[in-house]
Amino acid sequence: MSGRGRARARGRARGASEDQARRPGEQTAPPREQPPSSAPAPAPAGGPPAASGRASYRGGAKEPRPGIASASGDVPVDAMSKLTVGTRDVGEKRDRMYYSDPETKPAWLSDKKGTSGTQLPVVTNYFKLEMAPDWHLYQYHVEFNPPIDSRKMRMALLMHHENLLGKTKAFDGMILYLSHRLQEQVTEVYSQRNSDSAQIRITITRTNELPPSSPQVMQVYNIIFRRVLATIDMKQIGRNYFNPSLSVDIPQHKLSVMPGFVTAIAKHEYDTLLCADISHKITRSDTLLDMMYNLYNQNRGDSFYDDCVRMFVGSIVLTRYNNKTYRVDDFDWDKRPDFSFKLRNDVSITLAEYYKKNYNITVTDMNQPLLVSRPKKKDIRMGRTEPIYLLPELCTLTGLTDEARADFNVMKDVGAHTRVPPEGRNRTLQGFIDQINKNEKVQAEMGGWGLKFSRTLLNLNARIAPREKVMQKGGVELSYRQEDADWGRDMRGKQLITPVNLENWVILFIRRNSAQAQDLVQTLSRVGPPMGMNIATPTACELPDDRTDSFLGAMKDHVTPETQLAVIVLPTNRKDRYDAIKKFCCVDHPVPSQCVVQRTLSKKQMLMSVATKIAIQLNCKLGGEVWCLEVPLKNIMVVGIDTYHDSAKKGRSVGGVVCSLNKNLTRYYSRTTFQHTGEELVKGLLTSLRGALQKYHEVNGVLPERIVVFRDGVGDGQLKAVFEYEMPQLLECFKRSGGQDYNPRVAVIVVKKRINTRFFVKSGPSLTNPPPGTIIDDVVTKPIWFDFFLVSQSVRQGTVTPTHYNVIWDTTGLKPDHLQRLAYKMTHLYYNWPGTIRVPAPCQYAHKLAFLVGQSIHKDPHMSLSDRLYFL
Amino acid sequence: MSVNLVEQDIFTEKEPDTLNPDERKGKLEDENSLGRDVRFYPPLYMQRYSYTANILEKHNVEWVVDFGCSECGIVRFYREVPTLRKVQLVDIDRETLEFHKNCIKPHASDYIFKRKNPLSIEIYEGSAVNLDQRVTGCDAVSMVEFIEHLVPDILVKVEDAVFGRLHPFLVIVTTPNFEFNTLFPGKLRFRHFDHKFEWTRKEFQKWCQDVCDKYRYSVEFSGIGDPPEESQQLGYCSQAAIFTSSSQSKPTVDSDGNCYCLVAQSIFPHRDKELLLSPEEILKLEVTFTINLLKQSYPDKYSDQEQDEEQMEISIKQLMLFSKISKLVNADRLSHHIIHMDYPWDEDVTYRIWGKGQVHWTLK
Repeated sequence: MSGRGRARARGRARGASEDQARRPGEQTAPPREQPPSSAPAPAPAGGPPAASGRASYRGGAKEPRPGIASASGDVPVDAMSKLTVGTRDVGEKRDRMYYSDPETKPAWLSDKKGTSGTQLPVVTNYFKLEMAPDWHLYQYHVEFNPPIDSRKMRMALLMHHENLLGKTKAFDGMILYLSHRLQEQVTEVYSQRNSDSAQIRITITRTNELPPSSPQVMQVYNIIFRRVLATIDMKQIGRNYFNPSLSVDIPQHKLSVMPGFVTAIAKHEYDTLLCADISHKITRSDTLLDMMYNLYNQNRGDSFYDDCVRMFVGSIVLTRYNNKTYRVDDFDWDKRPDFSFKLRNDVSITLAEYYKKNYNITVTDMNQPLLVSRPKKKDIRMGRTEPIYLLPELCTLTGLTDEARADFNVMKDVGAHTRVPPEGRNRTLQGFIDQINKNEKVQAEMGGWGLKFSRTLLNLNARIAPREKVMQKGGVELSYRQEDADWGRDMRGKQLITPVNLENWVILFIRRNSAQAQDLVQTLSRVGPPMGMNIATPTACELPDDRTDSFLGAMKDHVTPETQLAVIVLPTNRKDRYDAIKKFCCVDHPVPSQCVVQRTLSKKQMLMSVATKIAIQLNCKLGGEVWCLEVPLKNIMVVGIDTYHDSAKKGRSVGGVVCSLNKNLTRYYSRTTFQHTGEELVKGLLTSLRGALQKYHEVNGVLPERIVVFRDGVGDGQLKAVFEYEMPQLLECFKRSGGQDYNPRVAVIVVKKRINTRFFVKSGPSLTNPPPGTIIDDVVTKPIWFDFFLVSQSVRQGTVTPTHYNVIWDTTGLKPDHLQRLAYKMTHLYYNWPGTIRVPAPCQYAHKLAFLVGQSIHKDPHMSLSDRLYFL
Repeated sequence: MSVNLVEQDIFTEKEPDTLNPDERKGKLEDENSLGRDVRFYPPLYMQRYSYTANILEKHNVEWVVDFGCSECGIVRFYREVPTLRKVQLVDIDRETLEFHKNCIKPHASDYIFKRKNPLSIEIYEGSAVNLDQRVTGCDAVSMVEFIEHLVPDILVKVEDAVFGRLHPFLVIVTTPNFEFNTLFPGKLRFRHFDHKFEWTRKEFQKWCQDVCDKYRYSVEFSGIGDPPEESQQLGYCSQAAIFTSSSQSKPTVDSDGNCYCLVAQSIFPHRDKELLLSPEEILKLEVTFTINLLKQSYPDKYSDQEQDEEQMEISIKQLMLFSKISKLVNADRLSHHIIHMDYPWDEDVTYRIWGKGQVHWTLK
């Protein structure tokens, strides 16, 4: 029952009296509460998906699914759970509370397992939840007569009947779960109320028997597990549980790292499994006020206010007095702790007095401004519409600032604690489950429910997909080891597949950097020819100063329609200048551009390799190709979609759409879409895809027979929206853009990078990361999905994170094995990295594009660039 | 403590969460019907807790025993008292204690904003009539709205146990002021169904005086919950007595052994590691932190200037702007320390940093 203390210790400086009706003590309305009382999950630190998810198309109008709808997705979990819940009104309320993943496995699919490659036994971070074969959970509806308003009172009254109900139960004031079946369908008992000795009749009606795999039982499992975590003294921060007593201080950065776990119990392919992974909370030992003083003392002058906003707005703070987290939405520079607000009884009180009286906390700095946290959606529903004012002195930042994140020293020291290799992870997780299994109180709780966890991590079989041949011009194969997945070394002296000669180009630099610029030009012309690129002497343009206007002016003068490329040597990586230049080159005056910071050119001994990398990048920006793989599928278009959400500009997100144009899947057409919160991503998608199909037709003379869409940027809880709304429209759009008889075979695959599943491989006595190409399509997958995990990248430190692929639509006729191999192949084709990456290359390109547009350009790039990788 | 009285529902937010669930309904009903025109903010129960906590702090109390803790709500205030190192809560009602025992657990934020002193909080099931050896030696006892729940012969035994045998140097007692009840509409009656008595100020003061005479204490009276302007003559809503003992030496207590039953215990984190650091070490950490901070902002600030961005200058003056540093040392000593920390420095008190933290000195 961990949530109680916290729930009580509410109290915040609210601005007005509207919220009178709901003070802590009066929150008696149980129906809206989370199920069995004990641990109400507070809003996660990151906010609900709608607020901070990367794609912001949620919540739009829901239309009935067009034509194709009936095929697979119609086993509505909603309807099922409605059936399973007892009384109807309760059931409906409950449905709104839970998010359940849509069932997206195509009906025709009998076996989602692939076949190719070699077997590899792996260990994964899951534990089996074990129960007796005939195990059931019994659900009861509890009524009190005379009615009792207070939830606590109801619990206390029910507690008198331990003999009947047993010690183990979950009760939220209305619904009671027990692990055993009461004799009668309806049981009546009486409790005496202390205050007036009144007899209260309690009617306990059995409403359901739930099998171990029912979705509702999953919720109960998770509630029980939260109790278990509280029992072993784990503290909840946001969504995860942490063990503060094990936190490690990094005093030189005023940080501490708190180890914890992220856990979830869910139904997987065969069993109910507990997924547990290590997670770390980074907390600061100084208050937000300290940080603001530090910022001020960094002598930033007038920019101080802007800097504060830039650094802290959007971050999550933890308050010391009530252990709650808030998002900082703004600063109020005019108000001070002596700002007074009205309590619900219309009496004014200053913030300082409020904290003194309510928490016995003395505010020491009366000169600090206030933080503003706007009410969350949930708060607004509860009637709290006024912003919440917080004192910087009483808040601490959770997580790192961007500046700290960019600081190599900080990240090195933090990473030493947060980056855990497979062996350490295994040991920690093993210790975690041992602690749970050995703790007496946990035993009592779990035993009472008839549940227990397996003692060791789960073992299963994976496959390593065959190594892919990577080729350059003339079918020259690049040699590399699949474990390292890096062919950068072997590219030297080999020709690019399609080199583009650089004949008419411009280089801009300021006077101070003219030597470096000359070096770069010389080196480029040296490294170009062996790769097949001839690089002519550019128009050199020396600028008198480094003002942004100087750069833009010079470009206007020297970039002509014939100019293939502009290279800009920048003295520093100042963002505003970079943004202005990119905007000029992508929107106003379309030309592929390459910015190089002077510092990267300053080390002579590195210049050769730097120039080689730049040359390859230039080749891509000019529409050339670098390496390729064997792609046996003919007439296929691969699409990558990703979204970028600018945390500073709340409410707008950018979608990047990238579509392959050629057989080798090496040339791409790209478009961007903009959408505000609440708008559907799909609107812009349709125009983009129509353009892509036209271009494909232009290049190939036919429309693609098969289209495979890799959709990235789908947050937790958004899958349903993508499946029910976006995907049908996508399919419709493909059909419509291609004319009457056009009926492409389509697969839509949702790609998820941020997952908690990990895999380890036994190597001698210890564990290591699985090699790139490892595919897992069994046991830890879900029966309602056509999904698999793929480890495609190679990491040097820490534990590799597999990528989850969920095929939510598939009429391609390809075998699961083919789709898996295709996904793996696509991870080889990102030209900014001579190796494999975490996601299919089109997703990474789409990400790059969305990032560039969302960060720097903020406008649609010029159409004339859309058939090149200008955004690399 | 100033208090706001308003013409509105009385006590609607009085002890909402800290009531014994069994009593909650009854109590709220009673008190709602008691009055419609007096209302306290913050709720009176919180004012009582806060008042008591403040007195403990004023007297530098390190170890306090709270008899009749009931829902343990006072913990919220006691945990904020910096001087406290041990808090023991005692109540006779096991069920209530079990229901509320989790409130003494430290929150996650307590591990971030750590206390200076260690603090252990213990909850015991037991009667104030008996003295467990684990409470002997405490500095103070608080009994907040407790004595009015006791029948006369028990009260006498409690007096003997607390004032006589335990004899801490400080005892704080609060109890309802019956005179104030006339402000509540309806029939004049007790505020809670379980109250065995409610005293007028005179009655309370007499009891206190008797205790003082018998057990060698001196007493000061005060109260919580100001009456409305026009009813000043009635006194505070709750009356309080602060007993202090003049005897310097702690008495040897004849305890009743281990007669209490431990229900829950928790240890609060405190700044143990920080306190072990020497001033030099603290300064070193501060300087390292501050220099890194200045480096983070550096490219932004100077990027337009004609200078190599790989190096930067920081003056002692600039470091002294940071109060965490200037609180520890003056400029002269800071320069001295900086030489010892391998940051070379030059005559006009500046030094340069190169690249990833390598430091190099120049003489201008």
